[in-house]
Amino acid sequence: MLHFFATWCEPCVREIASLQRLTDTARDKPLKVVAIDVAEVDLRVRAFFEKLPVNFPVLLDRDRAVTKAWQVSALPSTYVLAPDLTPRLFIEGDLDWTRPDVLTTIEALYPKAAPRTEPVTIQTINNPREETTP
Amino acid sequence: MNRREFIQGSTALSLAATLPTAVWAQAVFAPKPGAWRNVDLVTKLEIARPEGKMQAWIPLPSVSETEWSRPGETKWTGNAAKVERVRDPKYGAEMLHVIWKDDEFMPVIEVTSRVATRDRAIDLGKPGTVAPLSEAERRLNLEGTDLIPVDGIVKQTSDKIVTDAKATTDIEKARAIYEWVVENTVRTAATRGCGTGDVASMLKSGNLGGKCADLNALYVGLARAAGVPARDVYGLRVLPSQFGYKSLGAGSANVTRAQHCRAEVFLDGFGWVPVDPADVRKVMLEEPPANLPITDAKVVAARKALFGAWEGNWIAYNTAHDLALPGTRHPKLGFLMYPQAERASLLLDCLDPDNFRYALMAKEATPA
Repeated sequence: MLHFFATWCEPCVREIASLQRLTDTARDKPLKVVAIDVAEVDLRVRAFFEKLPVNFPVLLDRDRAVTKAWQVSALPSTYVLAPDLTPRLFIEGDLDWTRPDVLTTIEALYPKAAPRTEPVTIQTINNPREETTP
Repeated sequence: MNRREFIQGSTALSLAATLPTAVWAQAVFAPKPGAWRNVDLVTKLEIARPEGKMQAWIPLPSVSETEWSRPGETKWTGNAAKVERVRDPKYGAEMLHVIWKDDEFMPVIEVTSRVATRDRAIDLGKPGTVAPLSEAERRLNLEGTDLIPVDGIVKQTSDKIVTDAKATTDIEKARAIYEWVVENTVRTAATRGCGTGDVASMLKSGNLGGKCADLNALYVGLARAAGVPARDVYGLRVLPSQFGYKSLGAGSANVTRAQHCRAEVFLDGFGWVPVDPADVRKVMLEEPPANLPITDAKVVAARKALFGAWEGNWIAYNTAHDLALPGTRHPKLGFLMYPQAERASLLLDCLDPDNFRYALMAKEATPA
């Protein structure tokens, strides 16, 4: 999972805690979360995670180059990639990652699962419209 | 004062003190150009836990407008190895670039700037003869920036506002967007600093909460997308409001956290017109007793005034976006409203003045 966020973004702060719960829940599963902070000062991000520790890596996109390359224009945004690293889900807005239907959707992407052919849809918390795979 | 004047004054005071609330509810917020006020702004910056290469960039008041803002002399003292006044070529934003020798034991600089400021009020019922913007100025104030795109969702939102309001002229569009921002955004107390002004992200997420750098950037983006030149003006509240609005003035001489970004829109026949929808939402959230409804007399008075007027208890730094700090490899800043500094190649958190460290003090100077 590639998760784009910023510490100034309120929904992002909620979602970071939710992602931490997800990684706790799925610690025996083939799931890796990588969070990408968008255009913030290193020290601000460091101070943020001192107060809210997480066990997944946090990368810094200081100049938004990565964010632009992934065509992310709103925070938070998350891509869920298949084992071959092709994007399978795109979620714009914050999500409770421990919701049963969300967990089921993610589990369907694990390597042992058969490849999906239909776009996967998922409903965000703030943005009730359905997002589809890119 | 003679005895008769004193008695009149005392009578007025005692009557006022006993007036019912309903009478006080006739709030007044009516800035009018009057006397200039000279303000001395002192920025004191120290680099905590000094280490390695250290440098700082301190914004200087650099908006010069004959009707409301006259930057004066800037002086500094400290132990820097090099201090240079730098001017951004695109927007004219000025800053003091300060470099200390590596591993300086106690890096410090104190900068004092004199600025003259006064109220603004444009009579939008009486267009005058104002020189139009040059093509270059018009282009600059219509273009998108890194955080304020003027296409995509910003353009779609702007078009809808203008269409719904049946606005056809620039002034109608500018006012329709002002009313829309006032009615659809919210000031969020938890937002750090003045916000980031990521306008497309705000609109896409539907979360229109933030502070002045968010809300007024939204105004600027929507106006530009409607084809009306607009700009953010980044600055600092330095004096209390003379209209008694606690939320719209500096609470004390310590203005370290009093940054405030306003906006302007360019209208033919009027020139640059002051606009500040973010301050309307600030009055709603913060003006005592707090959480005022949009129908409250104080909110209504501020809302009416802040399209066309603003109070001169604030000084302007610059109107710049996407600003590169000279002498560093750090990415461009969305805007320059806070002191910036680097220690051992790491940019310090400008929203954390206590650990950075910096302090801003403002004082009204005695007229010369």
